[in-house]
Amino acid sequence: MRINTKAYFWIFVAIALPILLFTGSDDHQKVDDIQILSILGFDVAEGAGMKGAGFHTDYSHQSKPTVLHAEAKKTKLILDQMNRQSSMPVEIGKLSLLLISKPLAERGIDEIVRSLCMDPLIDNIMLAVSEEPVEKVMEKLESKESHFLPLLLEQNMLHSELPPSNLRFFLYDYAGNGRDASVPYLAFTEKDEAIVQGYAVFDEDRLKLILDVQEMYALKVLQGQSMVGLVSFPLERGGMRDIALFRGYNGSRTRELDTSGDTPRITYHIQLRGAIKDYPKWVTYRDRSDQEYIRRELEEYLEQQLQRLLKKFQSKGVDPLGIGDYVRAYDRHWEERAFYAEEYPKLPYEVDVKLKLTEGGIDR
Amino acid sequence: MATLSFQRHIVGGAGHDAWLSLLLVGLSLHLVVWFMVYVMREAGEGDVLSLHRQLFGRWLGSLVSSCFYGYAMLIIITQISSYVEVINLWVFPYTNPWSLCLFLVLTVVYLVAGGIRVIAGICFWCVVIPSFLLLTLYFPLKHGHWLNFLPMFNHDAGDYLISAKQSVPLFFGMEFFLLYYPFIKHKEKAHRWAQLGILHTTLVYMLIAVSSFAYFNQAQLKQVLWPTLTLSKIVSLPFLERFEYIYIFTWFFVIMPVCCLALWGGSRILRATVGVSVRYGLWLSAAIVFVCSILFRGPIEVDALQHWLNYASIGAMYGYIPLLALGVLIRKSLR
Repeated sequence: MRINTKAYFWIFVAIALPILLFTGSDDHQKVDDIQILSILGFDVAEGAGMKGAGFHTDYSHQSKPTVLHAEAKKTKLILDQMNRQSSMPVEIGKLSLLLISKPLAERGIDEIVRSLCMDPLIDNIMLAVSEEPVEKVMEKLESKESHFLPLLLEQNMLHSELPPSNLRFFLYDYAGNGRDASVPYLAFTEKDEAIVQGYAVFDEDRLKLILDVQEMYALKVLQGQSMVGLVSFPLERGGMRDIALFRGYNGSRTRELDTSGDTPRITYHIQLRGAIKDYPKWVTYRDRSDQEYIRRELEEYLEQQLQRLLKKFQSKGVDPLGIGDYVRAYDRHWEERAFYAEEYPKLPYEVDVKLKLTEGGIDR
Repeated sequence: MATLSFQRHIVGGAGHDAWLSLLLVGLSLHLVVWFMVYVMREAGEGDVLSLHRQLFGRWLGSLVSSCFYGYAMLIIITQISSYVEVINLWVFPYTNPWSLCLFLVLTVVYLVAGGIRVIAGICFWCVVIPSFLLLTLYFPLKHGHWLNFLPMFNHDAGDYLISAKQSVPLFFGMEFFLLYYPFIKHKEKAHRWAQLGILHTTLVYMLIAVSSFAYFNQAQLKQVLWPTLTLSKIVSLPFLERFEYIYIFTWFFVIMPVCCLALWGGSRILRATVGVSVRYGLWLSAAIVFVCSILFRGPIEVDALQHWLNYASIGAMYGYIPLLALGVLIRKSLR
């Protein structure tokens, strides 16, 4: 082509550069000029409305955390109200925790999930259900650092019985066929300190079931991603009773589906490695038979616990473990509604726990 | 641009088996490439435009060439409209779409004005540079749910066909081979490289499809608008909150080659049919693209564009090119 390229270069520079310079300028926002919410909480209000509370650190006033309150029918309207109370634009791009109060979770959270969790700006956040009203939670948090609650959850997922979860896990379970969503359940102690109280299991978009800490650990083991956590289990021998403590370090979980019979049969194989952290005086941990005794008792106890949890899910009609999805993968004509109406409640489970105990205590 | 959202479209038919349709479409295109090479070898020195005239006569030939022009314009308008939509939605919500369109069109015009050598360079580098984005697929593959692929092949042939139909637009742009073939220096090697190119494209799309099918479940894939972009959001770096911004702006490189080729092809077709010089042809095409991409704003309009492009590319790849090969074969046997 016989075209003078140089001229084109100058045309390009003359038109494209001003576009870049002038149209780009109205879009940038400096961190000093916006209010970045780190926690956003939703609660029920009168009628079909919602209350919202946003927690952010105001960096211009010696990092004093402040809380914005609003009440409206829709999530985005609540954000708009917060914006109208603020001297700088309120931004949700760095949100790290979405808190939903228990009554709201029981009423249904579909609106929040659709309008907020699908927002391209929302990313890498955690979800939790709170026992206390969200307003109260925010008040109690005002003395804390703005990332206290998300860090508390993260810490507990790594080091205690709390199963790993975040928005991506939640959305996968929430949208997917044959699975139900589950999120951490937060409460406050008598001394007003936040604590992971259990685990909230949803049915569709409604809170259906709250697991206690022991059940929560059983769920973590059955999920198989991480097996860190503490288990207390009863020991009884020769008329003496006490409890012992076991700390799980890691392990593996495999599932087996037997479709040879009329109904599918699911077997969980759990291999768990950990240590006995505390045991009664009348047990000698350095003794082979005693150690064998503890291991057997604990294996039996865990198998019971896991079985009981699986039964509980069946009776409540929730499926946070994605059993439906698992059966779907091996059933060419799986149908969600029929499966949960007929097969799921009477699905037989088998649980087989193999323990590997590592170190013991330092005495005896 | 189809790469950002094709997962959502292809699962509409065969669900979790849709990757098979994608693979089959990719494989079938090797045959289409073979047809193209056959046509061009028979066309002698000229490109497809002179072939049109030889085959169909002056008027009908120009008409067929004009259809090709419309197709090229449709490709570039769709690319620019949907890219501007993504930028507006994800990065700059307040920026005027027309300024972004103008910027994109001017960039393409500038590159095309450099001639076929510059375009060839752009095509090369704009494939190599964005390839680093493939590394980010490590994360969805690591967290993948492999049971999502089971049970395999429990769909009807019709479902696979729907998915196949939806995966064709991923490959548009290869038809421009018919236009730039005369400019290739080592024509005897061109066939091998064209086949390799299709193989590479198919493999890249398969990789993206498999990672998204493993990471999302089917219900999610139907909801997420741009699954590929959402996949990029998994990457979290301590110093960078939004990896998808890098992704979106690197996508500029991805749309450049096909836009450049389409505009270049468009201006050549205008010269061959209407007789305007390449320079005016280029500006005229650019003006058409700019006006149309402003007119087609909003999700419904962009979806409509993609819908038309879908049918146009199916027609071009599986209708026009084999028919052209047939025409060439008939002419050869008549001689």
